[in-house]
Amino acid sequence: MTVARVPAGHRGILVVGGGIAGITAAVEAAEAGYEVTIVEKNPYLGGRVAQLNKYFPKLCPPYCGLEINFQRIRKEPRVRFFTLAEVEKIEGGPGDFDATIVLHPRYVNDRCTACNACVAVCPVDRPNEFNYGMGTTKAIYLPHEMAVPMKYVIDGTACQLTECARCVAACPYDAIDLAMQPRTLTLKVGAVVMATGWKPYDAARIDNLKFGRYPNVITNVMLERLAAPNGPTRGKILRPSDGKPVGSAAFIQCAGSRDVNHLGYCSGICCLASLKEAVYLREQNPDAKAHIFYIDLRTPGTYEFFSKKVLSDPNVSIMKGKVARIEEDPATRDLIVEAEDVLGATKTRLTVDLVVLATGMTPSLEGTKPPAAGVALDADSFVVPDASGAGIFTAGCARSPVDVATATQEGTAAALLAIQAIQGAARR
Amino acid sequence: MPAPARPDLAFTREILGLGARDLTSCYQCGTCSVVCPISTADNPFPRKEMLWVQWGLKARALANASIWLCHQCATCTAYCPRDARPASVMAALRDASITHYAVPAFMGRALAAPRYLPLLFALPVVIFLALLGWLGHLGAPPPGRIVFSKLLPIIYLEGIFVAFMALTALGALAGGVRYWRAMSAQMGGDGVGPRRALVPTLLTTLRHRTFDECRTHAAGSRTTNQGHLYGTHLAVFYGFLGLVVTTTSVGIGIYAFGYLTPWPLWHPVKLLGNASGFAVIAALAVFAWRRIADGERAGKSTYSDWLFLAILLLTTLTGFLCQALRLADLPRLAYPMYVVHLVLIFFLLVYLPYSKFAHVVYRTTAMLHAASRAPAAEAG
Repeated sequence: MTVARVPAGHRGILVVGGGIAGITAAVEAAEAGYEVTIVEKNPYLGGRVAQLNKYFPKLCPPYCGLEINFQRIRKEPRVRFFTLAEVEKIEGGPGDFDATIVLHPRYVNDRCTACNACVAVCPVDRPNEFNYGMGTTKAIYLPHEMAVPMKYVIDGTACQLTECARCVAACPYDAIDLAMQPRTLTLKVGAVVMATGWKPYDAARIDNLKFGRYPNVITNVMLERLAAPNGPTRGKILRPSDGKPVGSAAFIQCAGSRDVNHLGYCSGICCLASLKEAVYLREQNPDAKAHIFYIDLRTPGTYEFFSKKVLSDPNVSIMKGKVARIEEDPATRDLIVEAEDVLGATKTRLTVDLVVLATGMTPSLEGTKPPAAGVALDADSFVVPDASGAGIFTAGCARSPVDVATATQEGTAAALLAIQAIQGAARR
Repeated sequence: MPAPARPDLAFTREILGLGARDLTSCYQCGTCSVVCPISTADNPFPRKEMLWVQWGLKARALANASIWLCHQCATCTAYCPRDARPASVMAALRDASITHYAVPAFMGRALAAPRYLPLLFALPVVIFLALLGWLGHLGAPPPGRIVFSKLLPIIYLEGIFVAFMALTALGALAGGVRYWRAMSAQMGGDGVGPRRALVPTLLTTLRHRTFDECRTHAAGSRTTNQGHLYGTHLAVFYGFLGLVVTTTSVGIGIYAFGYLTPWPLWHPVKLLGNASGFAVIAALAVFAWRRIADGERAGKSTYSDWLFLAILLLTTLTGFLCQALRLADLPRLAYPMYVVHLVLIFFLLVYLPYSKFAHVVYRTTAMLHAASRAPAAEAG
């Protein structure tokens, strides 16, 4: 039953995804004595949580929770992580997996001190995906101010590489290497934790809600960035069309969720997210009004208190009825949202400064190349643990849409399951 | 406290039988009412109709103007997040309402079920065969140039049709009045009054303004069958009116001026008749094709849909065939075809208040009622 009985090469755990669930699984397993490798697709750790402004229900900043885990990673030699990395192949069974990892070039080495000299000379702009496309970065950029690792990265699809190379000359630390090539890495591990997380549902597909057509129709994740101190507006909630402070916002729940034409399921967090975002708005502007249009206001379990608290604010109103039509005043770019007030059986039109679509969570594995053998997906592309191969576990939003607290619990649970699988294999 | 609701589950089953898909799937989000291009702020539909049908509230569901204000663009079905197909429910409610308000009630039931179809055909067949027998025309066709009035003199046909159409008019009036009273009791208010609303309502119909709105007031870019309805219904509407004008002109020609048929093909009335007939057939072909091609996205097609479409199409087609066979000088075919044509006209016109043709009565009644109501008088 001791760690020592397991052959050293097979004692490792591969964690796919460096978001809150994956990081939690990694540090928990490592602190119990197991070698863990985190493979993260982004150039930084922290996943979607790093992009939030605040967590519900306590409304503390996400770096509070992330930073503790980053500390644990730093202090724990059994955890190593690769960013800009993707799993290509997983073969084998419990106690004996062979994993092939592709490491994409960062073009920036460990000598980077994040001095920013490279950015000043870079001639290429690219959309800032950390801010969900609001604003741009240079082709060489720091993913965000709190990025772990604190290293710049070059977007190889945008950068002109050796044809330009101005950054190489500008870098005082010789930290830029434009000749970097993708590398392949093979790992022997005893268990795999899939913590690949989620991405926001593509709101442009909801044709009647006019995202991408009217600039002041944004999504809930974009509002997180607008409200975040390290966001595109330095934390001020301003309208995309004219930079005006937002005096009124309509939150549209189930935008593409619980809808056979889009996502057939409830993501379980969007109602709470909208309530939370109503608080952002109210904290910034004492006169601001938030209107939440819902089908069923879902604040499961003990989160009921949070909705009670937020809704005690007279400037936060709710209406049962889904917004299904949005018009724009071409002069002011104000938006007119229309819903049926189901409890009053009349149709209501409301003019607001900003519309926030409460879009749901799509698994990150949706629409990508088929996942590694042994990873079973359901029709919505969530990982199905019971149908996946032995020794492969899952945590967080890869498995089902969950809040941060549940994702961390599932991360811990997955760590324990991975350890049990390794121990079980060793006993056979 | 309001009286407790009395669910009529037989009614719920009836609506399911008339093409509604699954009444339990609707979760009352109201998307349908909002994407609906024509439902108004004070009487949004079809969200509440979905609930009434779920709960078996027959009286409410059938007494609302909305079921007939709906022009079946099926935008609601296209956007419904639960695939509950509200458009099919609205069509089923209209179907049920024709049966429900029918006077006499047995005529409503007779047109609602295929098993009565032979009986419905038997009535005109027997009448016309009896007339032919009495005239002694059951054997060989009348000799000489084909003139349809040689087989059945116009005066007898007029007698038969006037007598039956008088009953039809009474039936239509009684059905319309019953629906009007039900709407007033449930929805309340007479507002500006039906007299002042009459002309604008008729103009709306003549200009097909609602169909136009169905097509132009879209909430998004999703494909529905709203696009073609305006043009296709406009063609069948004016085509049919053209045929009515043609027939009336011929009647006036015969009685007032003794101008006997057949009239030459170049005659303006004859030209109008042929052009109108072509318009009707073309429009009905589009309707039939779209019913098949669009499937349930456009609302499930039911017995009453196909019956009305088939009778109108066959009536027009046999009209053309009569003319063609007459011109081809084939009396043995032309005269029987004429009798078939008359049987179909009888079916189409005499059974009007009980077939889907009754939309002329009920939709006009609903539009008139809605236009007469003060905007704030909703009590639904």
